Formats: sequence, structure tokens, C-alpha cells
Amino acid sequence: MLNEFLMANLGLWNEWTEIHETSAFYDLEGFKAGHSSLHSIERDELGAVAGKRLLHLQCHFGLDTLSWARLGATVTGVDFSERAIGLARSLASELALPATFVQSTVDELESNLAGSFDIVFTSYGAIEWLADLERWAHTIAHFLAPGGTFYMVELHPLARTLDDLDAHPELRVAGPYFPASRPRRLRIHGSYADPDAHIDHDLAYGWSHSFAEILNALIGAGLRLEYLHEFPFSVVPFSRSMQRAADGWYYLPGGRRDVPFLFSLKATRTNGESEGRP
Amino acid sequence: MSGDRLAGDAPAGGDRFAGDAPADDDRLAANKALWDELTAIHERSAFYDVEGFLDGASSLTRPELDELGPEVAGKRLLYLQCHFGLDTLSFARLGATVTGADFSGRAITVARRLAAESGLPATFVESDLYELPAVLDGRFDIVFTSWGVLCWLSDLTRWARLIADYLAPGGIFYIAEFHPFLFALTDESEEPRLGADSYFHNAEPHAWHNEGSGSYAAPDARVAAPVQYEWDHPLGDIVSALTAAGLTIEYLHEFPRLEARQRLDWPCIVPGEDGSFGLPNLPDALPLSFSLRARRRN
Repeated sequence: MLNEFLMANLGLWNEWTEIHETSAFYDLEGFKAGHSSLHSIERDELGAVAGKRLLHLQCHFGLDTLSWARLGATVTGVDFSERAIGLARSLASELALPATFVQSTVDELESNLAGSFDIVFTSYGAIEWLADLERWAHTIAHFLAPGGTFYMVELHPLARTLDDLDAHPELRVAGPYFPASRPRRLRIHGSYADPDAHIDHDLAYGWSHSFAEILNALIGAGLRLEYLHEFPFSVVPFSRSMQRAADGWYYLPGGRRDVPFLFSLKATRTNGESEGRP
Repeated sequence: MSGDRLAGDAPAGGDRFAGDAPADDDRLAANKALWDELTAIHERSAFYDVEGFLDGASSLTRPELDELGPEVAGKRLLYLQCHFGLDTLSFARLGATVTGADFSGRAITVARRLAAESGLPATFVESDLYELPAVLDGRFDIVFTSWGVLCWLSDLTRWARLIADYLAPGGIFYIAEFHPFLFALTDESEEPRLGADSYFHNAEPHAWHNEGSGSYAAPDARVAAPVQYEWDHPLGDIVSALTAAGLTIEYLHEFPRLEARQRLDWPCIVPGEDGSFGLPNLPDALPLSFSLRARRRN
């Protein structure tokens, strides 16, 4: 059962799927021609995935999931949008890539999917759509085989506290940083992939998540943190003034590199060995 | 970042050192001279209130007092960068067997004198942090460090390895510190803004030139030490250095306010009615401090 917040978000993501399918940002033709939709951070840090069972949470319409499949992973993608899952399945079929796609929220996934995985993966603008990170972390731990890896690359919580950069290029902090029980009401204009697109579902709800909340949720679910990395560039522009450099990442004007826009995190499900507690 | 250590007038010229960079030893010597001088100032300051301490008051604050205090009795505790020992001796009063280490000779001399005056058993060791294994043996149940320590360290990888080496199997590391996000804020504006070139680590430290600046503990004092060197360490580097050294992170806590004791004289951080400090009108916009607990695996 979806509450009013998730119902609003589902309407948006169904509509966004339709817009994104034909967007230059997602470049579906390039993908069909063999281009990977993955970025250097996750490709380099997650390393060899060939032969691994990989679960991709909040996979949108599956380009990243299928890119991992092209690298040899046995992939399962999950998203709450039926339109996104429908498109993902048709792409897998068209490209003859083996993949399983499941329509489900993260919270209800244990009821909708069986199995265990060597890697659970999620990326770029996923957790802001989740209310409950403890539930999320327990779902991750549930699906990870002992010794399995959780890897995420996400928008940095500090950058997410910035006020609208177009209106306030002076990098004003507005918050909130800390989690709240009620979501933020978001007025949506276009899409991150196509800022000028017309949107009918222009009201959505997002949740802020602090580093402490993210880390402690994963630790509490039985994962051991391996690293936390931070990057001074973004995967999407936070403002119209951020420029895409030759390396494909978006930078603040002048190429300044003193604000973190992305982070990545790797954690391992322990085998149940003693963690040192007496 | 004028308020980071020396409050009061903003030090002129906070750029990273350009031109011929001084040798690491010279930077260490400059910082040591600063801290020798600060010790003399702080020993007499109302902020550190040595008289109150000798009368029995604890110098520890939240969160460390709440999060670590209840479990230190009977434990071997190593305090890294202990300044002149008030916190170390406060842990001794809570029943810990304490060792404090600091690079300032004057700070260690004062710490030993205060231990003798207060009749508290404690070992104090004068050493640069990275040279500590040359002068201190032993394993500890708890390694502790707090408030304004990381900015004086050039290399967190070596720091974390040293912590792991001093911890007994199953032992815990605990730190309470200013949040690295705080140092990403400029100190020039009454509204919080990022862009201070002080978040990510750079091997070249900031060189802050002190021109009549005071101390965070005594804003009206005049510090003569001409320059200090400080390094930035983002949250990811702190966490990743500890995990790479073989520690398991048990929690990270983040706090939107600074205790009165952790005063920072920045225009965007102001005191509230209870004396604690925060961003006015933005109570949940940013974490200003953090604590982290990690355990050495068996």
C-alpha cells in the first residue's frame, strides 16, 4: 500500500520515465548502440562484477542495471514505477540482455523477491525518495549473501543543504540536513534530465538523510563500513551555472573543487564473526 | 577559518602557503611554539577554570561525558593531543587509568603538576603524535581524542594506524570533534555559506598568520606566535582512515549545536539562551559537531 507521499512520487516517476526515455540526458540510442550508462566512480570502485549476482535498488528504467549485465553480472533491478519496469523489460528483451526486473517499493521488496545477492547497488538520487532508512538498510542486509557487498554512490548531504544555486550562487546553506519525520514538499519543474519538459505531476515529497542516519542504519542492519569517499563534482547540475567538464562531471563555475557534491560508500555484510565485542 | 583556533581578529593571509614551502619539521615547530604559548595563556583563563577543576569540576562536556563517561572506570585510557590534561584527569576522576600525550612540553609540565596537585594518578608523555610509539609502549582499552585536534594532523592514515596499534583487541576508539562541514563554511558572512576552500584535504596546509589574534579560550590575550599550520580533513577521510586501519565503525553521531565550551567566534554561529552555539534561524541546517565510536576487531 502506498501512502499519499509515495502515490504523488509514483505519479511523477511514471511521467519522468516517459520524458527520460527520449531525453538526450539518458541517450537511449547510444545505450542501444553499446554505450554504458555507468559513471567512472561506480565502475572503478565496484570493480569486476562478472559472474556476480547483483541487485539494483531504485533502478528507474534499468539502463545502469543492464550496463552491469553487459559487464557480466547476473542482474535484478527493482523500481516502484510500473512504467519504468515496463520500459526496462522491453529494453532487456530488445537488446537480448538477461535481466530480471521487479516492480516494488524498497520497503515491500522482501515480499516481492526471493534470493540472495553478492552485490546490492544503488545510485544518484535514490535515498531522497525513501522515508525510512532503517527499513532500507535491513532490506539490503536481507538480500546480501554473507560476505556480500553493498555499494552506493549518491548526492552528498552537504550539497543537498544548499539553497537554490540559481537564485543564490553564493552557496548559501539553507538545510535541512537532519532527517525529519515529515517529508519535504517539492514543487517539481521539468526534470533533472530535461529542465524544460512540461510536467503534470509537479508535486512530490522527499526526505533528507544525514550521514549519521545513513551510516548508523547500515551498521545497525549488520553491515561493516569499508569506506566513505567524497567528490567535488556532480552527476547532474545543481544549477544552470554548473558546467560539464571533459571528464563528464558537472563543476561549479570556475571549476572550483571545494564543495562535495557526491559521495560513495562501500559496506560488507559480515559473516557473523565476532566484531570484537567481549 | 579565523575562529578555528585563534578567536578574535581574523588572522591576515589565510592562503595556503605559496612559494617555498617550509619543511614539515618547521611547521611542527611553529605549531608547537603556538601551543606552548597557548598553554601559558589557557592555564590562567576563565575558560579552562583550573581552580574549578581542582575543586572537583569535570572539564568534559557532552557528548563525550554521556557517551563514553559511564564506561571508563577500570579501563586503560590513552588521550591523544591532551593539551594540559584537564580532560585526561577528568577521566581519571571517573576511574580510568589514564595516559595523556601532547606535543607541547609546557602543556605536559602543567598536566603533571595538576595531576600532583589533585592527587590523581596519571601518566603524561611529551611527544609529537606520530613519534609516540618511540616513547610509549602498551595497549589500551580506550583511545580518546577531542575538540580541535584533527586540524593539527598532516596525515590521518598514520594517525589511524597509530590508534589501532595502541588499542587492545576489542578496544574502542572515541572522538568528539568539530564537524568537517563547519570548516567548509566561510567565516565572512552572517548567513552560512560554503566555499571556504577548507573541506577537502590538501597536502599543503593552510598557513594562518596571527596578527594580534587572541585565543579561543582568551579572546583578549595577544598571541605572539607568528604563524600556525592547519590541515583540512573531510568526514570521508576520517571514517575511511579508521576502517582501513582495521577498526569497525560502531556509530557516527552528528549534532546541530556546539556546547558553550566549544566556542567559535564566527559571524554565522551565535550563542543561544543556554550558552550553546548554533546557526540562528536554521536549527537543523547543518551539523556543527560529531562523535564517532569504533572498535578494534579481535
